Amino acid sequence: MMIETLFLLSIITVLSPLVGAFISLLLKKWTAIRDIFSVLTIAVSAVTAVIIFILFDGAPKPYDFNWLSWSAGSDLASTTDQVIQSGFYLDTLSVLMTLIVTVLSMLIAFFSLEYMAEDKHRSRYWFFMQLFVGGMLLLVLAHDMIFLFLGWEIVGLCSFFLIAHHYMKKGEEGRKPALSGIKALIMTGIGDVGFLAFLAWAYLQTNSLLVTDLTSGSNAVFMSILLLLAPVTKSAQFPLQSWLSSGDTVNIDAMQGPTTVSALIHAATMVKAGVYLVARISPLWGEPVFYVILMILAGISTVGAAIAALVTTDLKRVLAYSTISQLSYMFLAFTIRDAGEHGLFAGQAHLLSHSIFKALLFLSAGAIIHSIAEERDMKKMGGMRKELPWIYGFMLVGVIGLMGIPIISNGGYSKEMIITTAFENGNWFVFVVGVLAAFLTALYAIRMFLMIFHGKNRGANVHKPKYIMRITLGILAVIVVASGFVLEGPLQNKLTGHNEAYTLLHFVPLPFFVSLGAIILGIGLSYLLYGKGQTEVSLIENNNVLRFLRDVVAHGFYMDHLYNAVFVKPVFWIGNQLSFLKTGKINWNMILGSFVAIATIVVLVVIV
Amino acid sequence: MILPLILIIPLAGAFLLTLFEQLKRYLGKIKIDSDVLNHLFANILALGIFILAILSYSIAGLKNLNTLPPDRLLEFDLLQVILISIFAFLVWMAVLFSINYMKDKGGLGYYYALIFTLLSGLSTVVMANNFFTLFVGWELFALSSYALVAFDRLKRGAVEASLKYFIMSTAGSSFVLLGIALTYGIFGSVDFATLRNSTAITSNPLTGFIIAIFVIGFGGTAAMLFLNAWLPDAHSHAPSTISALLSGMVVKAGAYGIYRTVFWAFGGSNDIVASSSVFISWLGILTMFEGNLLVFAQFWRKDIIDFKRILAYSTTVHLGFIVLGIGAGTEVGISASIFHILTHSLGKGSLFLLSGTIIAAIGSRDLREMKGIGRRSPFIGIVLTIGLLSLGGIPITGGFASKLYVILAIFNGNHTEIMNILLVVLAIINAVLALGGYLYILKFIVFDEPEAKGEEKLKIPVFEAIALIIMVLVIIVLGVWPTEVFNQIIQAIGNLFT
Repeated sequence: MMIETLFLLSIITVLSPLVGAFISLLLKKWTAIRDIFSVLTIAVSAVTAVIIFILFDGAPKPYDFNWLSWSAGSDLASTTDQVIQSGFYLDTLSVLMTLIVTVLSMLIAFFSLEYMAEDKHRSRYWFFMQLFVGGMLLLVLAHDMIFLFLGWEIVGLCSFFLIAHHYMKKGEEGRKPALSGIKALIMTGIGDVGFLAFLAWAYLQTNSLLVTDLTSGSNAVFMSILLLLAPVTKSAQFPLQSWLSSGDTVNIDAMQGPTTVSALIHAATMVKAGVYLVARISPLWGEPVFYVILMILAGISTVGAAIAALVTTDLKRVLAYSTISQLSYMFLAFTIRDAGEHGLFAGQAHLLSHSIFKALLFLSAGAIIHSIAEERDMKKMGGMRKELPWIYGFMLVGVIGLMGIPIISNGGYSKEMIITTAFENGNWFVFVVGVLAAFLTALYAIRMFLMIFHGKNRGANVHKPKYIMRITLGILAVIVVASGFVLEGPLQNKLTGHNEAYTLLHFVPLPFFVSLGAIILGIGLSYLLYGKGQTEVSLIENNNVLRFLRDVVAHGFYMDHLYNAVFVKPVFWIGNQLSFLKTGKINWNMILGSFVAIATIVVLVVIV
Repeated sequence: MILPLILIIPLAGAFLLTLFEQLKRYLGKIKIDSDVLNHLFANILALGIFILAILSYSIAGLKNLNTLPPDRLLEFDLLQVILISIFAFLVWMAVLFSINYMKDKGGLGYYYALIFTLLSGLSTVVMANNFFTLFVGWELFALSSYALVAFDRLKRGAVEASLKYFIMSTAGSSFVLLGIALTYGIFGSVDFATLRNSTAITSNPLTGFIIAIFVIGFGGTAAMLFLNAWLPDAHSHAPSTISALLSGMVVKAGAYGIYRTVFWAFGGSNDIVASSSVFISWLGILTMFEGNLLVFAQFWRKDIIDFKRILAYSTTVHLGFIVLGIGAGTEVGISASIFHILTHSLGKGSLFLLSGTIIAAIGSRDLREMKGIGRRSPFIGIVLTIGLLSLGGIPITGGFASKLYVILAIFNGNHTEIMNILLVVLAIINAVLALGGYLYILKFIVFDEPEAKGEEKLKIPVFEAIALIIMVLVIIVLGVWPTEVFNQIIQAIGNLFT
């Protein structure tokens, strides 16, 4: 009886936003009802997710059903029918993710009631918001790779439309969101190459697409590298990060969407999909190559993105870079690979806490941006603590979570967990990078905070936000603090999934004090440099070398320029040269056609 | 009885349609407008053939090949039902669309008559059980499409395109004829089943040569690498409904011909299948690369960024995909290819039809002049988005399902594993490249700001809207629940081999 209840509840969780999305299209005439209805469908998911979380006892439960018949084998005459199984899979990871996704999405949707109230194209917005959440839930609860991939693609598609939401605006303001959406879909599309190829390969190895049946096989090293493309693009890691956050001068990235969309992308959906994928396959997929490359890429990203966050002056971009940096942190945790899977748990815990405090930070940023007429440049803010005292408080909680101050924030617990696990397992790369990133995180988080709230107002007109925003932010701030304590206590057994005598949180003096020292150092340095309302550091401005380096970072490490020069331009150029052959000038058509014909004959005569 | 009906009804209908056109003046005297009569009759006919094709399988006795006489020239099974249904559906959509699109154009009866002879020819190709019947059907549809491409015969471009198509396609046909002659001369039969069971095929050194001749001949129509010079011209200069039919049906006949030759008539021995399928797979991959690069080249053109030309090159990419699926050499691969034929026909068909609407509204094929037209008419925007996403292989659309099937099929194909991985990766890279091109179109038509001169809303003619809505709905239904249709296709291919 219990089993069916859980299965039913997971179906409701997934279908409620998916179906709601299409119903909300029909409610076009009654805008107020449509807005509230759209929030409610996500709320239904949230309620069922909470019930699932309470009922779930920690043992993994698959619910499979036959999906389509498929005759297999490479023999032409084979007629044996094979069945592809699909279904939902409930284990601690998916249950926890479902909870995070639904609750945070509900809060963000609630927040958008006020934030998007002035927007003219809300029916598009609400349609894709609900589809987005539904796609992510499908991805999280899927037991087979086809459902997973389906969710994966729906999430990508919705992010494309939501990032490009403002395309109707005039001139530059409309062109940039459109380009940003296209960039996001194409760059994450590179990951689909790897994932789709991996999916087909896995089916060949085991004749099953269930994630839990995943085993190694021939050419596993090569497939590992292909699979790696998926999390690297979706979670915006080092070589392919620029769709999520590009340089200040390029300014074509996911930050062009409405801030609520950024919050959704960063907190619960989209970028978490890559992390979730690695967490999901991590116990089953043991190829060392996969984890070594991932570790190196994540190491580069976590430091590089933190440095970029120090340089940029766009409020949302600071948060976006910080997301990249924190996602790499989770990946680093996954690559520790100890026997007890402690690194995996630490990474999952950080996934949970990052989702919550990043939602809080983004929504606070949204409230600030909303109250000063869509201004995102931090150089024009300053002194906001007098005008926006509530948001000052809430954002402080978020920043504490981001920095990972121990005891009082959830980020503190999970970050400490990662560093401690790395230390215990002697993984020095992760340990050093982790501590370095903790220092840089404190530095840029406090810099951002001081630039917004302290010093003098540098010319922004403030009109205060209303209640919906404040209520949402308040709830999130409470969760940020509370979930840290909960992590330690009742959640522990559910998270570890098995009742072994390992405590997730245990105190090891050396890593604890090293990381705490790094954080305090970061805060202190940041206060010294920016405490009096400075927007620039004179040392960097006066030194040619440092200024040059700063410009490189501000251009997004010239990654976009590189891709343009290496991939985009050549494709157009080759195409252009090739199109010469089609003009009919010396009648290339016939020459090339005959060439192909002769080649066909030669090849087939030789090989048949 | 139904079997000949599917071939005869369109031909008889074509005759009647021509007759109405000829008797235009006399009909006018007795207060009958022959244009209205033609529209009405053509629509009833197209719908009738579609329903007949669907129904034919459920009528008892037809499921069994044995009911046909042993020296028959045709065969009729689930595969034929499926392909003819796809073709008839597309023809019906085009004809429905034509009510508004071809309004006030001369020679309406001839136009419809040619469409139905085209359908009849394609049905013959699909139903042929020997090379000679196939060739007869081939010439029938080829002749019809030459004339249809040049239907706007006052335009110089249309006539030139038609002539180019004529020359290249005839060259292909002569290759096919040469192949048939060689086959008959060497093996003494042109019947597929006889050839398949013949042991002479494996031992004869000329087999490879004959297969190559057939692949070249069919490859010209199937728009394979560099044999496709006719395709962009013909697609862009033909009336939009005809472009939809060319892209949705005619080029697919080439792919079907390749499949019939390599995997059925000469598919008796696994060695031949294995080695020629490698070649065909790589042909598909190279074709995709060629098509994609040429799509991007279009965006750089200074004179005109021709919307229909871009769609035509994208057809080349999808033909590469279809041939790649066939090249997997397995039942699953062929089924996946046929499913891709279905989704591509729907997606590309709807886009070509939509291009007709847009071109009629703004009077130019230039993408730059279409800027922001999706904003002036949300209907165009939505149909275009769904069509492009389906072609790009994004979920909730049929294109995603078929892309997934093809890729799964290639991986489980005949080749060595390294080759499979390489083929899959190259195929998906091409899919992503193609998606890039589609998003570029989307940017032009939906995202860009409209020019100042055209701010007012557009009105979509009612029958054009109905046809597009039906196609878009089918695309979405196939994307959400592809299983049923795909199972039928698997069943059809399974039937062939048992």
